[in-house]
Formats: sequence, structure tokens, C-alpha cells
Amino acid sequence: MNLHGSEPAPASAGAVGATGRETLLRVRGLNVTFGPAADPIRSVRGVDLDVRSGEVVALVGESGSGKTVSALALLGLLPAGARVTMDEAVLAGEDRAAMSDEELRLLRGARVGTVFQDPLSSLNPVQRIGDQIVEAIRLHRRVGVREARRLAVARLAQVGIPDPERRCRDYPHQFSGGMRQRAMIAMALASSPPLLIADEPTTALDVTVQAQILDLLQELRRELSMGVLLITHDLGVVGRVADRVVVMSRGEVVERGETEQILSRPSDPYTVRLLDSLPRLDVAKSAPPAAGDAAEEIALETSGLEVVFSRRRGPLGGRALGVRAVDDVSLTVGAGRTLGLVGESGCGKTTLGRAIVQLVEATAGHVTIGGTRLGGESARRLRDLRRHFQLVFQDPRASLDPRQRIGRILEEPLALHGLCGDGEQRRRRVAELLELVGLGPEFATRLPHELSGGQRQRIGIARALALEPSLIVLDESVSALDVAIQAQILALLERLQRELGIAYVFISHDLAVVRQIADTVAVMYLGRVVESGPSEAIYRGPRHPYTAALLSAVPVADVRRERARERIALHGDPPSPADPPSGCAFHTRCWLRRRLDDPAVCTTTRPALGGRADSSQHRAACHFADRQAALLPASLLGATQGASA
Amino acid sequence: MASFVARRVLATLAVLFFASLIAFVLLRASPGDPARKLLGPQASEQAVAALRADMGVDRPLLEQYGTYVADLATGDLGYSWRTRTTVTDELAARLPATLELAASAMVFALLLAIPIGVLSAGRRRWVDRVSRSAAIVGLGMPQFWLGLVLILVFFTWLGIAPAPFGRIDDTVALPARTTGLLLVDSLLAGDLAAFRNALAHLLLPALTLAIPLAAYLSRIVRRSTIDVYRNDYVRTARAKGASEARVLFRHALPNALLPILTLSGMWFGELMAGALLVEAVFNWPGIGGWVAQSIQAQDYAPVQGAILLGALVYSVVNLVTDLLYGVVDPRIRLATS
Repeated sequence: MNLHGSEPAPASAGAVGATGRETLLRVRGLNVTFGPAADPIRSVRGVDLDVRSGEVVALVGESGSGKTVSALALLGLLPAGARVTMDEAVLAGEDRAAMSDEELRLLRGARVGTVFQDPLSSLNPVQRIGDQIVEAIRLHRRVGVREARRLAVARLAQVGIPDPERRCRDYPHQFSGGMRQRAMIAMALASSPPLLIADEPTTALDVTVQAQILDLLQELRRELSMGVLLITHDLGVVGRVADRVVVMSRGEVVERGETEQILSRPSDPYTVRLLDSLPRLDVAKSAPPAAGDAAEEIALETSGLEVVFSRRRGPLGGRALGVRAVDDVSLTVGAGRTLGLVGESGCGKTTLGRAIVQLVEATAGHVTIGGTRLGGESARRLRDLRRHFQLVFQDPRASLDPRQRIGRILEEPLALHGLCGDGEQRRRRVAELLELVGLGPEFATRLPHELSGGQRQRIGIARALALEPSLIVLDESVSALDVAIQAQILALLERLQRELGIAYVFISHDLAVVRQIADTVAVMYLGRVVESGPSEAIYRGPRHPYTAALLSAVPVADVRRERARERIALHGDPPSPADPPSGCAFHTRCWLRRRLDDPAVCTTTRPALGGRADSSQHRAACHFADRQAALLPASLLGATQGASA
Repeated sequence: MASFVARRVLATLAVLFFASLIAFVLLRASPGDPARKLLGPQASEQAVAALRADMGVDRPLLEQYGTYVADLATGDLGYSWRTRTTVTDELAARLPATLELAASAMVFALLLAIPIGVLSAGRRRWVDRVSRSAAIVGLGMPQFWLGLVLILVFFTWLGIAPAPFGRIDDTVALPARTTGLLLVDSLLAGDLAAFRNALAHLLLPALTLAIPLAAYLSRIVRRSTIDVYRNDYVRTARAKGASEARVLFRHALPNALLPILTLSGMWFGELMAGALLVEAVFNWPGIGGWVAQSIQAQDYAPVQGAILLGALVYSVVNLVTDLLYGVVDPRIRLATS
């Protein structure tokens, strides 16, 4: 259990030395331009930054705001062709502006550690983890290989890698996402640098793992009195760990100040907009449907759905391996309603979504959409049925053919299903679809690369709408978008649902987004639904310890509430779905079980998804679901219920 | 791992079986009579018929194939009626020459392609422009012509290359035969004079074989290096404070050369095939000229033996590349075990 100091470290804006703190980073007038001198792209314009030892400064902004470019410019890591100028710069106590390339190289790693976003691609795939840390140590210190290896093991232990002596002989792909990011941090700490630059260090991670990594950063800051420049787009993360915030937009700093002031009383209109568009754990769907509508039509029903991916046996025998990606899932979604499907990566939510739209074959159970039971029909018949259920993908760039014009992309489903025969009719329908998703008819002649991310996702939605389906599965469809764009797409989805009565299965790892759009929620863990029910009931009173832990791990952009929260920490990573734990699959990480002195039933008997007498809709698969409420930290519910209206 | 090798050995046996079948059928389907070819147009019908019976080609095809496979199983590759030697002896004498040539060509190709490819990937644009033009020329030239040009320049005009006849000068004593590879044998015997002489003879034909392959591989190395430099772990290495040389040799190259390994394995077969022509130009005593003459004489056994050998070399080289891939790329290693 990690309890964090409710008092944010005092971050007075006093001069160097006034607080006994060393200025580690001080930049004035940082400019970065790319492209030809005649027509330059000015990515960073006149940015000032300060970081002192023992404080976390968050550099916040949307993609393309210049926050990463600023950091890379300071480190001298921008590609050739970038022109960097600055009026004044002190980096780790030395004059950055007067430094040669070679001096700057020796400073990197030794005095400034760096952690990047994607820990898998940031580690060399063909080198052992230990060797990569040893390299970082020996680049800056004259120590023998054996001594460096001892130090590397100590670093891995420091960042919480269990059994570091053995794990340092592993390769990056043998580590889980969270462990890789720990290894990256160990590498950044190799030479005990006073300053750490972390570029979106938790963006690629699940919330429970993110919470662990943020705790680790806090610990390092406190114990080693490091200065941390944290680059992030996530205001929740900012609320959780930052002392001061610098907000960037279009290459310029638009606002700076202490975290609490910025998050609760922003003065710049850009910051205000950013905070307003942030999905919040404590704000429910704007128009909750009338409860208890008995005559409700069912858009989707799955019963006992199971997807097992099996690997064939080897030629010389061996146990057949099967991964239960989806295990006995029964769900219903009413017409015109939204089911939010949440869980960490690898929990089977994407596979479930694909099984629903018949892109993955279920190995047992069945799917009923709009009263038609699917499964076992001929390929031709299935193709006809597909118009009733559509899928929108996560990455709008990768899911649109780069060589097809938007008009063609939208016409294709119509043509495939023999709808809207002649050209004129089709053109009209395309214009109609574009209007539906808030784009003008002129978009029909454009190519996907000419569109922004948000516009592309609108096209993805328009394509799904073309056949007037009764159900759309949205698989992380807003996850790649900046919050402002994300808010627009969510509003669009809600409007389309009201106007067209479409049901959504909304798959997401982001609990705040799901709260904003879902009527009902299903939480998945290792292929099974562990809790399901009306969204309000789940967010206000989770009955499964996993759901409670997920909610507790989501950082919220409210400093006072965020830092007063008592957290439920989950240790480690989800187990492998190929070899799930016995009994209740969650028992290996369950905090509730530990509180109840490890009852044996959890390891022996798999709990069924059951409801309470008073709320049969709200069901949880836990033997002790009814005893959890008394043990939940009150502050957890404070964060999800909230006072704000 | 063991099961992987076992499976590949079984697959290789299957390949050899089909290669033997194809070689057998194709040779017998081609028009002409091997006995008549051997004896010439003046020979009497009786003499030809007698030789046909001796050679066994008057028997039914199925029976001939049966005998052939039965002999194969005992390691007997047959008898060459043209040279009056067993195919096994002939191969043992000639194969090392061809292998030495092909292997040296592979080494030369890699020595040329890797630095050229890496330099072309760098920031100096003119390097890339020059190497790209050179690659087009290198790939476009027929090998026999390239060989002749090299002989003309280095032997006829400059006089720095030895005469294009064989693997070593007659005046130089041959080192004791252990592997049949002259470079290796002379080094084992500590005979530097013989080593130098053999290397001088090898240089031009090996280069002739290597240049087109080097031209091709250098473009692949360039592409692959550029791709690897875009990876985040290169940025990580720089952020650690690694010098550019270290980034290249420790982080970029080991990843960039992974695809080269596969390609090299696949191209080794091409080199063996290319050696047939180049051997003719340089009078190299390998299997090339011998196979060519055997084909013309419709001498079945040597041609069948050479085809089988080609299939075997190709399979073995590819098996070795796959195993090496597991050694250099840990992701593959763990997936197969």
C-alpha cells in the first residue's frame, strides 16, 4: 500500500539558494525551427523553463505543442536540420549554451537521465537489459565490467524489479511493459544524474502500472532529491505528481504556475479549454437514460461467449497450448445504449469486440444482434448481415487506405451491399454521411493524409454509419486523440446515438472516458467479466476489488483531492492469460483478499458473476463482494462521486 | 531446438529426394543417346548397343531409377562414362575449388557492401548518389564480361594479377591436402608463399562473383541502416551519452545486419550457380566446367550428382542461417525453443 504525502512539496518561486535548492535547469528564450530558412517551421518559440532539485515540473500540452521538441533540443537530440537557439541555458549546473557537441554528449546520461514514452522500442531488442544498463554506467564511470554489473543489479533492485540478478540477463521482450519502463528508469539513473527528463513515461502503460511508475518517480524525487522535468499530456498525472506546471500550445508557453493554481484556477483560455474537455471520473454521462425501461429492445446479446486461441502441438509431442482470450462472457446492450468495456491490456476486451462483429470466431457460446443469432451461417449470408454491425478502429491513420479518396472510402460499403445504385445517389449519400459527422462535402475529394487525426476518426465513424447499423463496436476509438478532439468525438458519438438510435460497445482502457459515455459498464480481467452493471452504480460503489483498484489508480486533475486520496495499490502485472491463476484469477494481486487474511476459497473456487438482492443489475464475480464496501478508502469514492456538478 | 533441427533435416531429405527425381527425369527426357554421343557418329550400331547395355540405359526407366536410388543410399553417386571416374572422386577433387571461390566471394561481397551501405545511409548525399550509380552498373553487368574486363585490366594491362589459369601457379608446391581449400591448407601448413599465390589467383574470380552481390547487398544495408536509425533505442543510446561510433557499432549495426544474414544465405546458392560461368572464364578447376561438359555429353551421373549437391548445399546453408539467426536475434531464439 502506498500512501502519499498529502502535502505537495512547497515549491516557492524564490531565487536559487533561497530554499536550499539548486537550479538544475534554467532556459531562457529557447527557439527551435525546422525546414528551409526561407519558410521555416517554428516549432518552439521563446520558451523559458526552470527546474530545481527535488521538484517535479510538468511540461503540458497537446501533440504538436512543442513540448517534446523543447526537451530534445536541450539534450541535443534533435535530428539534423533542426536549428536551436537560446538566450541563456543552464543544464545540470553547467552552461548549456556554450557547450560543444562532445561536452553535451558527456553530460547526457551522466548529469541528465532520460526516460522515453515507449519502453519497448526505446530498449535495444538484441541486447540484454543488464548489458544496456552496464553500458550506461561505463560510459561515464571508470569501473570494471564486474563492478558495473553489480551496480546495474542494484539499480534494477532500486526501481523494484524482483530477482534483479536473474532478470538482468533477460532481453527487453521478456519484460512486461511496466518492467521495461522500470528498466528504462534504472538506466536513466545509472550515473545518479541530478536531473531526470521523462517524456510521457506512463502513456503507454496500463493505469495500475502507471500508478506504480508514478509512485517510483515520486520516491526518487524525494529520496535522491532529483529534479524531474515531466512531459505529459495527461492532466491527471500532473495533478498527481507535479509541483509546478508549464502549459505549452503551438510552440509557446501560454501559462505557468503552481499545480494547484493552474488546475483549479487557470487564467489562460487555452488551459481553461484543456481542463474543460478533460473527461472526469466524477462526471457521469450527460443524459442518463430513464432507468427500468422494461420494454427495452435488445441490440446485442452474448451468452457464454468464449474465444480460445490454440496453438497446435509440436511435431514431437508437447502439451497443446490454449489462451482463453474471452471466457464465458454474457452481456446485453439495449438499443440506443452504450456498454463500456474496460480492462487492462491483454484482458481480452479487443478480442471480445472482434468476436461480437464476427471477425474472430467464437469457440463456444453465441452472439445475437438485433434478434438474429449469429454463428454458423455461410460466408455470403454473414457478409449480408455485416451491415447491421460495424467496427471503428483505434488508429484512424492505419485504418484508412492511404490511396483512396474519402468519397471512395465511404462509397465502398454502399457498393459492397448493393445500396444506392447510381452515381448521383451515392454522391448524395456520401455528402450526407460527411454532414452527419460534422464535415463538409468538399472532404469527399481529399486523401486521408490531408486530414487531421480527429477528422480521420470522423471518417472512420462515417464509414461505419454508411450502412445504418444497429450496433457499432468502438475499439479504443478516441484513445489516440488529444483531449479537446476526444471531447468533440465523444459529443459526436452521443449526438449520433440520440438521432439514429445506434447501440455502442465502447472499448477503452480509460475509465474517465467510459464514465462520460457509457450507460452500463463491464470490467474484464483475464478474459472474464468480473463486474458489470449500470455505470453510475459501478463508479459510485464498485463491488469487485479489481474495479476499485482501477478507479483508485486513475489520477484526477484536482490537486487537493488527488493528494488526499488513499490509494489501493496493485502489485505486479496481470498474470499471463495462457496460464491463469487457479480459483479467482485475480487472487494473486487482490488487496481485499490480503485484508481478509487470505481466505482459501479464493484460490480454490472460481466466483460466479452474482448480484445482490437489492440490485440484481449490478453484478460482481467476487466471493467477498459484499464485504468490500466497508473496507474501501472513503477518499476513493470522493474522487469518483465528486462535488462538482 | 533439437526438434527444430530434426524437422529441418527431414525437410532436407525430402528436398533431396525430389531433386533426385527431377534430375533423373529431366535428363532422360532430353533427346539424344548418351552412348552414341560418347562413341561418336562413326561407331557401329552394335558397339552403341553394347555400350548402352553396359551403361544400363537400355533397361526400363523405373528399374534405372531403382538402381540409382539404391546406389545413392550407399553413397554411390555413379560413374562418369566420359571421364571414366566415379562421380564421388571427381566431386571430392573439384568441390573444394568451387566452395572456396563461392565462400570468398561471399566474404568480399559483405566486406564491400556493409561499409558502402552504411556510408550511403549517412548524411553525405554524394556518397549515396555515387554508390547507387555503382550499384546499378554492378548489377547490370554480365558476370563473364565483368571477368574478362578484370582480366584485361589487371593481368593484360597492369600485369599485377596472375594469369587466369587455375588456383595456383604450377611452380608453387601444393600444400598438404587437409580440407582441399588452398587458403586454409596453406595456412595450416604454415606455407605463406603458397597462401599468397593462391590468394592472388582467387582475387579476380572471387571479385567477379562478388561485385553484383555486393551491389545488391549495399542497397539493402543502406535501407536497413536508415530504418534502424529511426528507432527509439538509437535515441536512448544517444541520451545515455554514447558516441556516434558507439551508437553505430553497438546499437545500430547489430540490428541493421539481421536482414543481411537471411539474404546472404539465400544468395549463397546464386553464388554457386554463378561460379559455373566464372570458372569457365578463369579456367578454375571447380565443378562448373566439369558439369557443363557432362551436360553436353549427356553424361547422366555427374549432372545428377551436381544437382543433388546443389540442393544439399542450398539446404544446409539455409539451415545454418536460420540457426545463426536464432543466435543473433534473441526474440527468435526464445520463440523456437
